[in-house]
Amino acid sequence: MRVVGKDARLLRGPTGVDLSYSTQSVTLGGGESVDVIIDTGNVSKGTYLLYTTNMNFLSNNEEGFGGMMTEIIIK
Amino acid sequence: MITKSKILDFQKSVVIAIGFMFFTINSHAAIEGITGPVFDLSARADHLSTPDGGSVLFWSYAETTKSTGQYPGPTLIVNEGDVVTVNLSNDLNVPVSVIFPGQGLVTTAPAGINPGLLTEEVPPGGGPVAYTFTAANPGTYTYHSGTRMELELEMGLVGALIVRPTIMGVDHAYNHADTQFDREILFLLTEMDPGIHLQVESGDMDLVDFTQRFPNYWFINGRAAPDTMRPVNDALLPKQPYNCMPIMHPGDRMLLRIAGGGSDLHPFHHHGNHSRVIARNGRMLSSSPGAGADMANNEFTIQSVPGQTVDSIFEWTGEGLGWDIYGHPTNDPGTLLPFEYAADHGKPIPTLEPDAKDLVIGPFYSGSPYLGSSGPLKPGDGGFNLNNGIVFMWHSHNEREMVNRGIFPGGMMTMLIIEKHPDPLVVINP
Repeated sequence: MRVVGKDARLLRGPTGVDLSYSTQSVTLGGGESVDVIIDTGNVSKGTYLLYTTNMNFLSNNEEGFGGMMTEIIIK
Repeated sequence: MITKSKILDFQKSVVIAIGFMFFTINSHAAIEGITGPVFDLSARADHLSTPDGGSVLFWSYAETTKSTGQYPGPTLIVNEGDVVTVNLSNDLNVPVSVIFPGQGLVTTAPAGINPGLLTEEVPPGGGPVAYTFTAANPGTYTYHSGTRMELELEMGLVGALIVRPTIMGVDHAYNHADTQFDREILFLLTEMDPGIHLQVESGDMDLVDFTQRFPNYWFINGRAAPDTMRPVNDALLPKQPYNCMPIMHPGDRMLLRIAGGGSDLHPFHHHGNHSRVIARNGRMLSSSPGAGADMANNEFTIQSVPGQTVDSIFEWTGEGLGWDIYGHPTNDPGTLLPFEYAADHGKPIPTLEPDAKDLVIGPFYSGSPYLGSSGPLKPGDGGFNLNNGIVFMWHSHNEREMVNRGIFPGGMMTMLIIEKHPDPLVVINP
């Protein structure tokens, strides 16, 4: 995915330098925001997980497989 | 979520804890610290004070000439190119050392007598050991212990290092015009788990389980809110000499030097406007030599991670608010005030102020929404905003860090006060 904005501002330098970047993971503190674009043009159909890599957050209380996780479905 | 009852609590505790503050607009043009390039420091134990009445054992890099500890270590201010020497003695009962992340080769004298994992160490009761390096690059840095870091940083052996550029001088952060500033302020962000400190005080430092670390105090420049807003060198906080009270005029460029001095990430949220991030880790965000800070971006929450520093320039003029911050009358033909946003000149604030009996007035309210103006207040209201400024809370946006042992408000929080330009006189109920 490509991070194109941070805190509701386009990632551009004052002279127009493109500061956007590709990554597979984004770290956010409370109150921060980023805008990312996921280009699925070359991705096969299927279901892909979007999840936090703080693995201990992938649970609901004592039950596994939950928490901060969702799916991206490409039809 | 900040509820009304929390705001009421906030009022009460601020009133109780602060009592009375003495602000002057010029007191923060530059960051407090000591200039070298030779510094005599002693690792020393002492107790710091928290706003909830707590007393916490800490270890510090104190100035050897002082009789107490100080948290954090003194802010070392040097010039680019200086050969910097820190002579470190050790009054603690554990070995200590000091390292300077981001600096080049550090040499020690003696060398190889007590070699630690990262650098020469100072044994208990020993020293001084001289640590010497050349401050080759301007910027914001930290220094901290290089010995048992999980414990010694938690205990307080950390401080900030500021290297000023020689070509552009003291009102620039780096050697380029893009980094010019009118005032600067340091945010050295740290946190403490008081349980660990109690365990160390009980003589059980080797039993501390850092997997169970759970901080309950959060500090800016060694103070938790609302102590952050008390004056520098406040008599009530003899071990915590630095404050964090940003004050500026509209249009001023305020350089924020934000340093992660602890073990946790802190998203530092500066209400009021975006700021322009010009540097990270002591390097200007520049695409090529001479290009200036052309890779700067605008953020409203600076992600501060342990060991990292960020330099960002904050400005505020009220631009785009949709109302005249000075309260000029409608159709006022008068000339604009410095940095006034012309499009909003003469526009009233687009709301009807409720009746006074329906309002709860915060201690920073001047009685008027307009910059530089005041209005009637009920007895006992207001009082912390003598120059009728506009006030924004600046804080960690990890909301749990805005408390002192779970009680809001506190922790990693302070207030920005914007005062009318030029320095206004105190006017009460004009």
